[in-house]
Amino acid sequence: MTKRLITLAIALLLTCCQSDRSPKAEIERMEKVPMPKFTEPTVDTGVLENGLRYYLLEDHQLPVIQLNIITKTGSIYEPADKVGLAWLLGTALRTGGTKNLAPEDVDRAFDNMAAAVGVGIGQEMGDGSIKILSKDKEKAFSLFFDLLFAPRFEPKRVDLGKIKIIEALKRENDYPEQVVVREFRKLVYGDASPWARRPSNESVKALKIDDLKKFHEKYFVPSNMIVAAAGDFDKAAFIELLKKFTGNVANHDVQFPEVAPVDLNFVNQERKIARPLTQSYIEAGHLGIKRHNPDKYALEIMDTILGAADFKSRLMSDIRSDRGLAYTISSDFGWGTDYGLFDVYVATKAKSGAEVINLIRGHLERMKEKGDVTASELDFAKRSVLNRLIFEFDNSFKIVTQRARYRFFGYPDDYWHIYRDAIEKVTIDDVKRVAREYLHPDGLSIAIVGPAS
Amino acid sequence: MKISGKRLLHYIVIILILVSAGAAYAYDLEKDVTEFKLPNGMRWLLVLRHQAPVFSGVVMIRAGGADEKPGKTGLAHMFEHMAFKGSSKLGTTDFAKEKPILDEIERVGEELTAETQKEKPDEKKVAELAAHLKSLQDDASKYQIKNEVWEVMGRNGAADLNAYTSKDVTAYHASMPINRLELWMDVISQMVADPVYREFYTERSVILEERRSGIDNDPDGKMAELIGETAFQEGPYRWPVIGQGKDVAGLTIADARAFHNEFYVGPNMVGVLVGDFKIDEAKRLIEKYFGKLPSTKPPVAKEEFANKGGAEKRFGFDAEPASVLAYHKPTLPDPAEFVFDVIEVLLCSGPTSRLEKRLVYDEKAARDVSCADDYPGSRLSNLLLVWMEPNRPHSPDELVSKVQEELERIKREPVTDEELLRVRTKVMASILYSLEKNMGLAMSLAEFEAIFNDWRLIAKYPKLVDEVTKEDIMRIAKEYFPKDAAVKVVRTRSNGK
Repeated sequence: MTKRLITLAIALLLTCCQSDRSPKAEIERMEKVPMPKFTEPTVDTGVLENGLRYYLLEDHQLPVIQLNIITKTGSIYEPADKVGLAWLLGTALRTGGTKNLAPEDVDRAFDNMAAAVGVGIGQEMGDGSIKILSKDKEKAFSLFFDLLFAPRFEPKRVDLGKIKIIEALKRENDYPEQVVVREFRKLVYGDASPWARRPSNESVKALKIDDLKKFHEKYFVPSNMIVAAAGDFDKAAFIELLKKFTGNVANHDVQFPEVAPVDLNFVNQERKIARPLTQSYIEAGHLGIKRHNPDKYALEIMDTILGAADFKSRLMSDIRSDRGLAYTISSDFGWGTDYGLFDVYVATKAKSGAEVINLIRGHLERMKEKGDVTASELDFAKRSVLNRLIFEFDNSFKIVTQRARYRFFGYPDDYWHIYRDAIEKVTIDDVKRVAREYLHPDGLSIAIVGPAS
Repeated sequence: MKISGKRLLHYIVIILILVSAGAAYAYDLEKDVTEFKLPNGMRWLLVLRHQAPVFSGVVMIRAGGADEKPGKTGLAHMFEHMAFKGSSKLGTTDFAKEKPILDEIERVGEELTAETQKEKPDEKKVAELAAHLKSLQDDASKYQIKNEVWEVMGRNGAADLNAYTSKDVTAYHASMPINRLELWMDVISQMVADPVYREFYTERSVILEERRSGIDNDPDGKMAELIGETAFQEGPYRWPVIGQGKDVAGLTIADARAFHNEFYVGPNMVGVLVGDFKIDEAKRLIEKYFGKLPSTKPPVAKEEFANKGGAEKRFGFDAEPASVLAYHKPTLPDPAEFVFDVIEVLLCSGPTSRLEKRLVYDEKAARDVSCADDYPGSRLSNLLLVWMEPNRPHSPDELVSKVQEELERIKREPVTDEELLRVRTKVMASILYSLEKNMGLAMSLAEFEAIFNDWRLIAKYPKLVDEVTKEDIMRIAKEYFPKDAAVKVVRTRSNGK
């Protein structure tokens, strides 16, 4: 009997000692594999005589070239009586033809080359892109730069643009998740703010071709634009192409109109939009920070812990995993040229709406007041953000467009390193401090789209 | 995990573009792919790409909505959610202690589900069982680590970790830094080989929320559901991937386990890796982690269903109008598929395509027209579908008539040389464009291998499309688009306008 017990004890001991090979130990072992040495690809950058800046990267894997060009312009610069002008201009540039070619001929030329072309203008950035087979580069880029620098604004296409915008505005109301985002912005910034206002049918109908021309002439000049391109080309030859297609474009210094500054305040307010739905769609939050605020890194870590991490965030664990109250819930602590937005988004069955809002408020209060962020939460958030950074480099086009955007928003070209180092330095105390300073659960704007009761 | 409405259509359109394009280009895909098969029958495709120390990987199972039975719809997707709940090693602090509680949860959950599925459930019994279930779940949670799959993958830099279920397949995917290749193997293999059914009943509620968002409250999701019901008289293409609400509410752990045991077997699975690894190292790890999957043969699904056209459905929704016109068609290996691919691009790809040019640009009658030629999946005979959104005051019915006129024209007149050349170029370019990103390439390879048992078809596709003639197009249009075969679904405002 004693012998048996001893054998059993040895068996147990063995089981115990194999716990060195336990699942957690196995995972730890795999997590210790070092990263191989990685040399960042060298992006060519420079400025043409006309002021056009470029970021280029050759990549000959596929016979394809992608190009993106960004322009400092946007709806925040529209006169208050011409809301919708930037949107219409983006559409009109893409579809309105060029000085040399009627719209139908442009469409046909691009379609025959299987070129994927897009032009759009957002709140503070115009964004044009083209993807082509590399053999077509001369013809395709010639046409693409003509769209941007020598537009025709064919009246029937401008009219079509207006119809499309009016339809899009109407159809936005069909999707509660879009309505709630729109109304939340208006609630926080104010309905007439350049950062929230939306065109109306009347404002769009009143736009004139002359308005488009003036807006276009003012902003679409090479010194106000940045090109990023990657793919199957030779850099030197590519720069010559850029010179050829933009060299003769007239240039001038752009004077940007003053944009009314956002008033920083936090008040409890609610906006309800009644819809016969089986769920309530909720956005809750307040103003965030400006882009170059040095606390943005600590705030990103705080936000990851609160609600930005897939599934592992506090909001997701509690409201989805534990309570089954939502398919998706997430937070985003945003920054902008002026104050960005902090928001929590969720959709939940109609009768759970009030409960979920209380839960969100509770999580914000806990983050702000309790300061109970743990070392393991911090560790998880930092590692998630840092280990993912390598994906900035897994695609050549992504590398150059990212560089162009850093430049556009006033970061240095090596911002990637600054960002990485700053995230590495974030401490628990930093997270607690920024939560106290920047979260305002007592000044929440809440937009709800859902059934009336 | 996001399958709904407009996004569903977009997803299908993307896949279609892949399906309708290939490799008459200066890139030799076949030479880049290393393939091998595990003794259990699981097929693997490996592609080296060295631009950054990362890789993208996908494990795809030929199991989707097409494998479900009426009454148990939504099961493939329900299982997909469960795969993220961990295994006997992940998601638990002590599986030996957790297991008996999980068994009890399964028993009580089954009893509760049976009761709630009754026409007149006994409210008292339901309340008692629900309370019992809740207390068991609280007990179990003492041994559980919530969302550990997400935690481990997340802190190790996983990008695009997610999964999706379609009518044809279920896929699990993530990209990671290359030094986490073994971790990827370990975690993903546990998800598909050793799932533990934690938090099943909470997750069922989550899926019902997903259904509310994706179908009840989404005009396009609702439309997609009605297309299936209207076009198909029988077979699994009748219901949406997420399933019927009542069926989902009745699913049990035993259902999910049976589905897993039947379909998550070597011969039914495909893995793809694209990135900066070493082939030998990848093979060694694949054998170590995926070799444990069983080699049993999956059940053979019924493939023939007697579906025919000539149906119309009108419905009201609190949204702007839209309409769909669809026709039944065969799928691969029927060579008509390549002709449909040509027709789809001819009709709907770009501002010079016939429908976009006429309806959007010339007549300004539609704000958007889009086509899909393997809706809602590719394993069974499916639909060529045109989705239209009118500009007011044009009506959704007017758009349907105009599209029918264009289909008549295709029957009557040969397409021009320029059009045919354009279609071929577009098919070739669209597949090239799709290969640019590591995950895009991985997904294309996996889909072709899992659905058609032939990843090489991607490379052959442009040539097969090039062989389509003007006469083929007229012949197929006449055969498959007779007027009385049209399936029409029209959405108007709830007030009928």
